[in-house]
Amino acid sequence: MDLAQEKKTFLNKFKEADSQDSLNSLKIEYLGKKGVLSSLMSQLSNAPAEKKPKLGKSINELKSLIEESISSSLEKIEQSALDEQLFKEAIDVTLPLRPAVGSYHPVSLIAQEISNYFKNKGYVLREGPEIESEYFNFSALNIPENHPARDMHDTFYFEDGNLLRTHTSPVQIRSMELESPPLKILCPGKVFRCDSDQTHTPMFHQVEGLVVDKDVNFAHLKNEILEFVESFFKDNPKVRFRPSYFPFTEPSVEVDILGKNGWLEIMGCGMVHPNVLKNVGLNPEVYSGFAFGMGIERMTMLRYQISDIRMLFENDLRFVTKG
Amino acid sequence: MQFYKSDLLQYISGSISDTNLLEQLTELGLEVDQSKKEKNDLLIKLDLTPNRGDCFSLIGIAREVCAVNNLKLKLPKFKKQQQNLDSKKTISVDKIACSSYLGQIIKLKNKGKTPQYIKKTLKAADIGQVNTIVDITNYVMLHTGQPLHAFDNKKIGKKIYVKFPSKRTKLKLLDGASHFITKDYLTICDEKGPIALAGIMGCANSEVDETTQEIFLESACFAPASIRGNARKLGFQSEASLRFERGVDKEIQEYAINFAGQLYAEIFGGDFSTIFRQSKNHKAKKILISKEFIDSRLGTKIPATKVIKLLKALEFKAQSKRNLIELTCPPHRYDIEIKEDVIEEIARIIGYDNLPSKRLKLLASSPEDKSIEKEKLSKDIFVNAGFNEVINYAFVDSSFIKMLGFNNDSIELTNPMSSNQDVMRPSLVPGLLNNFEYNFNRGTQKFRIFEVGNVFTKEESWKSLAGLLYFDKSSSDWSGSFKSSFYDLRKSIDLFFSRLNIEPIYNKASINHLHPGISAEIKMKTKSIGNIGILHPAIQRKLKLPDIVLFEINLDSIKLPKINSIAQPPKFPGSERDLSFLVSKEIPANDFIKELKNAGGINLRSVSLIDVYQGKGIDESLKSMTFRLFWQATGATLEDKEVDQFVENQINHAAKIFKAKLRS
Repeated sequence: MDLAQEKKTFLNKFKEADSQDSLNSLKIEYLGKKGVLSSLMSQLSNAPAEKKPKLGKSINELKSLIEESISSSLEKIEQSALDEQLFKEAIDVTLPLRPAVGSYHPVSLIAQEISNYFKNKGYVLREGPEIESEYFNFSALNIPENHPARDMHDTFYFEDGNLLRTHTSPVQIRSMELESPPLKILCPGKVFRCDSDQTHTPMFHQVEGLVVDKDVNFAHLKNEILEFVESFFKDNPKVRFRPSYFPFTEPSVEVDILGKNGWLEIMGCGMVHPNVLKNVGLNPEVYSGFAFGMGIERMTMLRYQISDIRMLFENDLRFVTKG
Repeated sequence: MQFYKSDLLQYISGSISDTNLLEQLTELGLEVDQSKKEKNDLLIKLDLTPNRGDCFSLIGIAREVCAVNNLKLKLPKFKKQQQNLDSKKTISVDKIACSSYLGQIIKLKNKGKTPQYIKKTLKAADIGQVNTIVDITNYVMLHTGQPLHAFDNKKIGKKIYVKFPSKRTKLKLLDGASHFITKDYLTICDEKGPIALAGIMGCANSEVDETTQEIFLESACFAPASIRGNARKLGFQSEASLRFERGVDKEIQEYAINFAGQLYAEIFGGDFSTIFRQSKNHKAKKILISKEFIDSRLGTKIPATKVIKLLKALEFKAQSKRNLIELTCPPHRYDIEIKEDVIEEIARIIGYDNLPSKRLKLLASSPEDKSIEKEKLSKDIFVNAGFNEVINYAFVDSSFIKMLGFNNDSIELTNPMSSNQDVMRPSLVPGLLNNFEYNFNRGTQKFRIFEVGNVFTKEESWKSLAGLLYFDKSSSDWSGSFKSSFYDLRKSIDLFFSRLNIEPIYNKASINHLHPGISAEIKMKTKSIGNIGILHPAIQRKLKLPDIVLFEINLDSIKLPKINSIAQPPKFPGSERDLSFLVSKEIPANDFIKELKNAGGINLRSVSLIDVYQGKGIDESLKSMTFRLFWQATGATLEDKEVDQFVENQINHAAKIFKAKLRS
């Protein structure tokens, strides 16, 4: 039994084997049931007893060498086949795609942001009809017929005397008629005025907040507005409250923020006028409340630095998808 | 109200810088709209709110500036002209409509010319020069807020009546326009009839001109209620009506007529009659207010003495009465009626920026409107499905919606902005089509747009959700999608409904604006809730549009999903079978699936259509549909025998209902 010769023969054959097939047949030739190694093992029983341990050990060493050589070679070949496959399968990952990317209208985004802000402050969202009666849009809000305050609203009318609401304030009345204080609501929605220029469109969106309870005062209103402005305008601008006039609030205040080019009006607010409370059956000596309202387009224009409000309703997809 | 700072300063004893003045005016609630430096002066334009009629005058504005600066209001005194003209007028007045009526006859001695300083004041206020007589009345009005009217005394009678006409009357105003006026219009009449529309404009029949030698000068206080709305109803607004509608100082009539008298004397020289007068003592408004009430509404702690001082500066009379402050309102403040109005005055003069702020601890007590939640969910689903939101005007062109075939019951606006926005939209589709056209013409090739908004018919209004989809080969993706189809849009609708846990039914239906063969009515159980389909080819041709796909759903008819329990999936293996049927091509796949489910036993988990084939090897009237059916029981493994039985039942059922044959 010449193990050294066997080893040499194997190594020569192994050198020649460069494919998966030839390595597999080499494996069978040496390691198979009837292979070289099992014949060596059977010869071992004929060997003299004192030589057996050493010889056995040498056979096992040869076996390990053969096993490791073949399996490592096989592994290498598999690896290079995989490498080749991976190389072939490679794609251009930079091809420009055109996925359908959805978007919210910028006005929706801002309405959503404002609504979420106030929802988190405990306001409940409320809606009302866009076609309103004279009563809910004007009379109940302390704007009697022929009052000059009606000139502030260029109203769209229908033949039956109904109108397109000029503000979201009618929702205040509808809510107060249905629910009793404490009341803390926010009413977003479309409003309409016959007006069109760079800063006006015949339809726009408002959001209005109303809080009614005992002991609600102007300091509360002021704080609510200041906190909102701080959250909405990230650069924390200077805020100014200045007297104004709305028939449904008393006192009435306009809120400005200081921009790069001076003061910018952002919203109106005030303490709910006692006549409005009386109109919904609340005693103004017991209850008080505040209301605030702002134009969502105005806030959208400030946020995205848009100069012409009409752009928001042209629905140019290169524009309204960019919010 | 527009004026020069120099004119205003006549009434203020003290100086004030331009910047301070402009800032203070706005902070007082007299918003500065514009200001312009001019030579040595400052032109100021105020945007006044309708409650501040008193500030349509230099004196009114000066009063405010003085109050906030602790300065004294400087009012010049005018002496009565010597009354040596012996002319008579009798005056009778509707005392409710007119609390005070003063008139004076002035015989003008010489020719007069409007002096430069009057011209400047008028020009600042954007009031055109008419003639010197009228220019003086306008000048005095700008200073005092009291509109004056000069009649040519030779053209009017001896008796003056302030009254509402007893019947419909025609009159011609100074601007040349003729109007029919009704009983709501307060008029100034002489024996023959109307010579002026009280508080609005004089009539042409009594007009003064350059040749006028004798005037009857009127200085009256008309109640806002008797003037309000009348000018607007006639289609204009005059300087006089602007002021009377908002309220003119109840006590300034004599001051104004003497102011004007002095100017006529200086400019023309004149003989003056006595002042004819009909007036009643007006009752000054009194208000009782407590310090506690003020503090409770402002969240402040202001001492009563400070309140009193501050209100006195605004010409309120104030005195303490036990725990209360009794206030008498000044005659120029029509807007002060209740305690809250007084609170506003206090806050305004202190300055809102100087008031405290405090967090309110109050939580809401009621649930949110479902409709808002639904709108938000719809938007979220469609945006996530790759749709772009648009927002259109709620008014549309009636001829457009008619062309699209919508029912003729849309609501018309009585005063639309333009003829292409004359009715309320009965559907969101017209808006989406406009958006398509606009963007398609600007090169957009791929459209997935949607809108949520209210739509209106004469009977009702509801919240609608609609979308439009279009793309073609040129916008295909590398993953290989081609032309947009009905099914592309339906996929999004199916997604929408599955998120809402609703199983919609699509029924073929004829909808005017959609292709009759490629459209469906969307139903929930038996209720129709919307439609989907390709734009009708006839409309496509008319509008030169490609075959876009549209849908619209009534959101009000959909409920938000209820919360269901989530069942554990069965642990035992299931059985799958594929079955191909030959059936008339008219049979909708969904009906077939429904019947397979009906006949498939309780353990049938799913039926999916995996192939539809029409063409070679199959009769033209037929189609082949292959379904993959899956059964699974919860408590045990299903035996093949059991499943065979279900399959046989289904084959028999399909044969009975649809005359379907199993394809071998």
